[in-house]
Amino acid sequence: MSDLKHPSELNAFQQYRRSVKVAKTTSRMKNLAWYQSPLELDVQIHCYIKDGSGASCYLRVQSSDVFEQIAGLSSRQLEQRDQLEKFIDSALQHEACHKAKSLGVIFYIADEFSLAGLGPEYRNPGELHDLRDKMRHDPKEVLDDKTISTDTHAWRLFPYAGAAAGGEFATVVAVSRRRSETLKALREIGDEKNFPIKTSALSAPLCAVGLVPWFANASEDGGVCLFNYHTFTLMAFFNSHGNLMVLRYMPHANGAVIPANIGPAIQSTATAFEMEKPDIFLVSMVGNDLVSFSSLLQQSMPEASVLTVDPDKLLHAHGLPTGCPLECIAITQDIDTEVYPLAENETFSALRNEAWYIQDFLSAEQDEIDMKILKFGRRTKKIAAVLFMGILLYGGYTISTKVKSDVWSHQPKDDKAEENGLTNELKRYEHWNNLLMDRSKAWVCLELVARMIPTDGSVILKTVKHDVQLKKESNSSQSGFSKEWVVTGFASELGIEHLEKHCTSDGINKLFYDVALSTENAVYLPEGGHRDVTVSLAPRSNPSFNRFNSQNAGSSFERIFTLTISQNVTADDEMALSTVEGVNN
Amino acid sequence: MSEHYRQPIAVFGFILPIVVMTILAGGMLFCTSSVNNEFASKKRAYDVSQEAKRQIMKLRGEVETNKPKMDAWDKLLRTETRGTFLEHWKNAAKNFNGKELTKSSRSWINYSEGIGKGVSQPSSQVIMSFVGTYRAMQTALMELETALPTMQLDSLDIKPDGNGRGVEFTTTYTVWTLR
Repeated sequence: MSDLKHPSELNAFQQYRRSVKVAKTTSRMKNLAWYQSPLELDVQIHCYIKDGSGASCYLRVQSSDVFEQIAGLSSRQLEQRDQLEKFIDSALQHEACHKAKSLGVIFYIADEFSLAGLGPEYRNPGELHDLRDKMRHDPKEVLDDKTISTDTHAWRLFPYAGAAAGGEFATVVAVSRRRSETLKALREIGDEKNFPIKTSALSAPLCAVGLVPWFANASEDGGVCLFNYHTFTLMAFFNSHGNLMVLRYMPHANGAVIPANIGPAIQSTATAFEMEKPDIFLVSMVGNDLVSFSSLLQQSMPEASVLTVDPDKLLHAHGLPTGCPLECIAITQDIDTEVYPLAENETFSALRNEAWYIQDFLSAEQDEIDMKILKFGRRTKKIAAVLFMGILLYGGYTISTKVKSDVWSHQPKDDKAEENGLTNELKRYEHWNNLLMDRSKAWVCLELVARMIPTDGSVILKTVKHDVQLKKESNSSQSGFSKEWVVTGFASELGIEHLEKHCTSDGINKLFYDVALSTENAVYLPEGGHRDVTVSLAPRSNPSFNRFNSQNAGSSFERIFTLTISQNVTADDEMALSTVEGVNN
Repeated sequence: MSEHYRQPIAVFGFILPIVVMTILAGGMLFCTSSVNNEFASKKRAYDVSQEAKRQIMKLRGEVETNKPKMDAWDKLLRTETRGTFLEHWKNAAKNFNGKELTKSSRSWINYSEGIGKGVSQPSSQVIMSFVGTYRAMQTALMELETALPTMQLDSLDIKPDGNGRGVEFTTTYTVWTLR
């Protein structure tokens, strides 16, 4: 992306288009290594720059537990892109790297170091994390010395976590930007190869501070660690709890391996911190012979315990090759706080947990595109698109189904007129059906009388009077009716007996039932709660009876009789007469 | 991490598409909802219409079933007069000789004092007297009443004929009329 315009020169949409293009044309979307720290990657190259001669390089493959020295880079090679590319290609040809999907390149800047103080307005330890960010983006604002250059040096904050309250709580460390082009070239090679090459430039002396717990313990008398580099020596002063109180830096004059007057310098600082006989650890970081240095220190501070740390022994103890930079221990090894209890104190907990000693001084200025958001956005868009399609299909199906349905195309039709016409026609039928029911027919009436009279001549009729009367009920549209038969005649005793058979409830009902069946006239059916039949027979002696000389037919019978039958049909009966016309005929 | 790219990606790669899709989905749902509401309204009208249609079909069926009877009744009511009544009687009585059945009198009144009284349907009343045998009378009356279902018997008197010719029958009928 180096040949592209800086994102600040693009408008928002162009920035988005670039993001999409990068996502499509690079492996950034799939390979998370693009967004990881080089120290998190499986394959790493650690380049140690101890002086102007170049960098000694070490290949580390975490998955294969490989840590070995590889061909170094001269100062010329460090400045030549093609040489760097060859170096990368060569390193990745190592058998442990054949599955490498990314590469982390970690530079340890050990050839220079400088410290500066915070400005007087930034003395609040509570603002440490704000200051850390501010130091990255606007160091001039934070530094006491406003003449410093941000073009030539990168500045980072370094805290004195656990130091006594009221004293210095942090210092500022500077590293030259001389190697920033080298790191940029490495990143660009990665971009061109679509192979994540992540870089980090660490300050070797700060890494060395992180190394202290590996060889020192807290001492009641306090402690001083001297990290001897090629061109300077870093002094770290620790209190009785092993917490870092201050860092002091002394350059080596005129090619010397130790700084001039370091003894008095240590003594004065130790005195300032009321340390009478501190434990002094002397560590040679670049292989300088420090025997004379140790003697010198012992002479300057006879009561102090001066201990020279053996680098080879330390490296061997942690499985790293001889000659490897000691800082690699702090960077590549997990410390066991039970074995090295100093690592648990406030200073080293903070340094480790907040990664203070592995701050990247020469981080990429080019903005990396946030593929996580792009990826998240793509996934979200896919989900949203699926949901949208679902809604579209649901809506489309719903609308289509409903619009195509008979219901949708249905045009309301006024069926009322037809319905009314049919209803009226039906009412008219019901009306006439009711009126024309066989509720009162003469031939059926005659059939009843005929069935009542025996055929053996024991009964002869004189008169039959039959009347039908409506029984109008004021609050009903239906009218019941009553029928009455009054039959008079002559009968023998046998005839009277015969007639009496009809004069019981069962007898008269049976007579009516027989008539109903034979004539199919439903009004004679006796069942149902809405009709009843009563009968009475009044026989008496025939006054004109003459057994031997009958003047007429009746005088030969002993008895005369009057038989009265009444049938009542109520307004609730199905044969009741509808008295209201209801419809227009 | 880029501060430059984060916002455009968030806006163009996430927020804007989601907003657009949300608007479109909202629009679709709104349309669907509108169609659903309109459909529900149409469905109610359709159901009412279908119910009315079913009701009409049912009524039509009933009317159709009743039609033969109704047509016959209509024809009867339209065509029957006091004159045609006599024809029916003649037809009923033609199988009997004078000894078996003789009509002695017939009179009409323009209203009914029997079953037709108090019924809104117009009716008239006819009183007829016959002399004849019981079975001949029953048979003739059966034929007459079958031919003219508009006749409803109000009263029937049977007594011996004073002249000894047989039995005298006096019938009073209510006859339903159109007007």
